[in-house]
Amino acid sequence: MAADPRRLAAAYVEHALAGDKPRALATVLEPLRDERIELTALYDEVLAPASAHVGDLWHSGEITVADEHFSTRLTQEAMARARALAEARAQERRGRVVLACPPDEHHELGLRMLEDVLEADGWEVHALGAGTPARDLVAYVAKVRPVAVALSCGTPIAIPGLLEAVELLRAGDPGVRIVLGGRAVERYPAIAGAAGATATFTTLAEARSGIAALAG
Amino acid sequence: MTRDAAEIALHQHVVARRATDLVYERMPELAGAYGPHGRHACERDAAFHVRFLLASVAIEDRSVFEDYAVWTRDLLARFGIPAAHVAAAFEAVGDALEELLPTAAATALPYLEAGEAALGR
Repeated sequence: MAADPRRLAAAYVEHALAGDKPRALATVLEPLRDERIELTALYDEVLAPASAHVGDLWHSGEITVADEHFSTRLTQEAMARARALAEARAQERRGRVVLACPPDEHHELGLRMLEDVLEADGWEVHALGAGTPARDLVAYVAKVRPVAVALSCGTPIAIPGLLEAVELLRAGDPGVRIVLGGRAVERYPAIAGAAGATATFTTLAEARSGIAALAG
Repeated sequence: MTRDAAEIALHQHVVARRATDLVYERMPELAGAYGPHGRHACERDAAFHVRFLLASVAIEDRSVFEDYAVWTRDLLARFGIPAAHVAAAFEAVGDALEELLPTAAATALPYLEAGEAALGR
C-alpha cells in the first residue's frame, strides 16, 4: 500500500523534535525501501515540507536553534541513506547539469534534494553548493557546458545575488538554459521575471520533467 | 538588476551606517537602554533592513519587504524591542537613502513605506 506523505511528514517532525533519531529515520526510509514511496515524492512531499515546518517553528520561537539544527542534520542523513537506495536503481545516462545556490544563499538542502533526484534519473550532476560567487559560477559553466544551470534561492536576501548570477551567465552565453527553484522563487514569482529565467520550478517533480524537456 | 537596485547594492554598507547614526541621534536614550553592544546590533539590523529593501526593489515586489517587516517585528518583540523602534529604523534608512542616494531613494521609498505600514497590521 502506498504511504501517505502527510502522515509521514508529521511523524518525522514529531520524532525529530523529540530527539528520537532511529524512529525518525525509519519513518521515512522504510517506505522508500519497501517501494511504498519513490524518492522524488519522499523529498517533495515529506522531507521538504517537514523542513519548512521546522523552519517555521523556529521563526515563531516555538523551538530552539539546536532543535532546528538537529532536524536539518537528521534530514541530511535521511537523504544520504535515501540516495544510496535510489542510486542502485539508476539506469539511463543523460547529460550534464550544474546546480548552485547564488551568493548569500546558504540554505542548500533543496539543491541537494534536486541533486539526488537528478542523479537517480541518470544526469551527471555538478553541484557547486551554497553561496557560489557569480563570476566563479559563470567560469565553471563555460568550462563544463551543461544542458542547464539550476539555481536555488530559498531566502529573499539572496535575490540580488541571484539576479547578478543570471545576468552574468547570460552575458557569458546568451543561450544558456537557466532554471530557478527554491522557497523564495515560489513565494515571489516576480523573481523569475526580473531574472529572465528559462523556467521556474516549485517542486522536484516539476524540475525533473522540466529539465528533461529542456534537454529535448 | 535595475540601476537603482544596483546603486543601493553598491552602497548598502554606507547607508546602513548612516541610518544607525540617525537612529542614535534621534533616540540618544538607546545608548543607555541597550548598552555598548546596542549600536553594533543596530547597525547589523540596519544592514539587514537595507538588504531586504534592496531585494524588494530589485524584483519590484513590495511584498518581500512587507514580509520581512512583519517577521522582524515579531522576532525583535521576543527580545523586548518594540515595533516603534523598528519603524524608526526604517525611517532612518529612508532618510539615509535620500541623503546619500537621492535617485535610488525615490524608487525605494514606497517599498519602505509599505514595510512600515505592514508593521501596524
